[in-house]
Amino acid sequence: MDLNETFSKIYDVLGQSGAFSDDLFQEEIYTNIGIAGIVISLLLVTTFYFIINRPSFSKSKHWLIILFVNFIIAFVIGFIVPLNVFKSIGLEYETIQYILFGLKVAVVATLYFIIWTYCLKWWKSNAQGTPKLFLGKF
Amino acid sequence: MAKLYIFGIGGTGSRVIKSLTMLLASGVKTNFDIVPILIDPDSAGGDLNKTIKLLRDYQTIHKSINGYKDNRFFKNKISTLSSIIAEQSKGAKIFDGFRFELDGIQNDRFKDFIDFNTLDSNNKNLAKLLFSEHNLEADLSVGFKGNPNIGSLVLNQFTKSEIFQSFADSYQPEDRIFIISSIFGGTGAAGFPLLLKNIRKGEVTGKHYEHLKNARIGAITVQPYFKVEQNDNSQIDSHGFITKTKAALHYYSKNITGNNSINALYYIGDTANNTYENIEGGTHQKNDAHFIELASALSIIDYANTEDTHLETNNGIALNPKYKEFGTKDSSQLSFNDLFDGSKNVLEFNLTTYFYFNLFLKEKLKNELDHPYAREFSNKIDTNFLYQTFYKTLTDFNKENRIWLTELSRNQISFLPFSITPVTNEQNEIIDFSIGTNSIFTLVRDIPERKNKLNPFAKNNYELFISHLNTAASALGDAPDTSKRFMGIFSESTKTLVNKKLL
Repeated sequence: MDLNETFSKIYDVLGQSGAFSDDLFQEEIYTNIGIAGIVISLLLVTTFYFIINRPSFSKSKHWLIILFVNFIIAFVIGFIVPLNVFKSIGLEYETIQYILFGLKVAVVATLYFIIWTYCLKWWKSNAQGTPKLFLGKF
Repeated sequence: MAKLYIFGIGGTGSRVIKSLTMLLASGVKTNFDIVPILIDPDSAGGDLNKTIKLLRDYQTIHKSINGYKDNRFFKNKISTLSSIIAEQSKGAKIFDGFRFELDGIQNDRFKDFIDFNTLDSNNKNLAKLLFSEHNLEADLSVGFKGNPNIGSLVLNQFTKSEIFQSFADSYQPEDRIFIISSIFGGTGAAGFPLLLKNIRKGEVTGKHYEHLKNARIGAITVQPYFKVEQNDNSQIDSHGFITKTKAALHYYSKNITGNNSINALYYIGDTANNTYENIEGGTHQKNDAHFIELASALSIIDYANTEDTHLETNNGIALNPKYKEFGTKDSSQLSFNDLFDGSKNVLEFNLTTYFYFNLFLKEKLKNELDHPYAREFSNKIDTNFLYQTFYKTLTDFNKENRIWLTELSRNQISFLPFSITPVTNEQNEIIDFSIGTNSIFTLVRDIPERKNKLNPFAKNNYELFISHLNTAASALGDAPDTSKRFMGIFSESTKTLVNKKLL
């Protein structure tokens, strides 16, 4: 199974959009957007824990701010990238299709962000342990 | 561990031991178990009782964190004589405290103490010759009010007491003795030569103690450093301080230094520019802490750090007695830079790290518990911890420390190493200090803050402090309990902070 297929299955869990999804698959946009989502989430999580790394910006509310930034960036990518690619090859879809796909990309990027958070939040930093979304240390 | 018995005689003795306690809390260390014994007839004395409370708080804190190697504060053990006796299983049951209770002086006049009314007429006349009417009517429960002739008689009972016997029994050859007294008052001026003479005799209630006779003994004799307000109704008159000092020094030159009975004698004093309220004793006798008392405490550290070989005694005679004085650079308001290296090395780092520790606890801790240093380890520093005895005792101690620091700054000569402003109550008593700035690394006077000019986003002030707490907490990991972890991370973080930003 190649990356395009893997990512398409991840995004399609949140709903298939018929011809729009087929064209995304055909143009291998899933691969680019999937990798971009993972990398950007990782960069933002790293920025929060190890670059900003300040006691005054280390609480759960600050983590949520970065999470929101991640959501917005992912949404913009999920909206703009298919729009540009499809326009360049003469495909036309309604704006709502792009918005729905942008939202799917943003939701998946949020999951990536949480996964990266739980990989990195145990390391030494001024935000170590933030956030606690579940019981105890988790 | 060898013991250093410190006899604090009179009000000056209490106040010097208070300064010593503050030094030990801040991380100054000796290789001795400190055993303070306070000898003061004025049982209600404000300074005495504050010192006793402080010593007890110190012990409580020390016990909680004893043995934890990553802690620097409250490291030096302080013991009571009774706990030493208990450890050595000597069996004697003596007072469990720091103060020796003088018998027969509670609510007694001096004439009752010497049974004046039962003397025959010849002895009555002799007593009248030696003691004035004021002396004979003196209320002993508030001290000897500057009369060493009364003090020497009353304090003689100490050397015949069970406590002195217990002290002699517990004294080991590797131990040392230090005596603190003022020379211009009553209790200290009388008590010091008396105590020294009795130790050097090596005889206590008929029993011979050779190692006591050859003990290593140091002392500080504090010369006038304050005046009291003129009050015709008071028996204390500071006009007599210099005369009394001269007379006592003359006596010492024959009976202490003249016969080499002491191994190290420290002299200290200052031109007395400050005037205290004239109170003869009791709860109201609470004077602001003074730099002379802190410098006197340094003499104890100096003495404790002196090599054994420089303090040898043979047959009750010191073989190579040392006489030392203390000085600072010429300034009416001392900062660390006005001290010479010996004092600066002891005070600067230790007082500064403790100052920042104290400041953070006072200003920030309660609202800054949601950080890794507090919540990410098995022993959490949380609100429950803040209500436990350890933290409450530490809070009490720290408040006394802040008052002490502020009093030192208000007195003459002023010792003001930190830019602090006194907070006073209606009676003009200092109850705390304030700093009036968030730039906390600008608070050490005459020592500029080291800034990271290349990085405008560099962490600073309390944020930098918390960041260092987090780093220290990660480096130390889990500790046996929360008190130890708490002291460990503050010891380490204040050390790295002060080294990075100031020293």
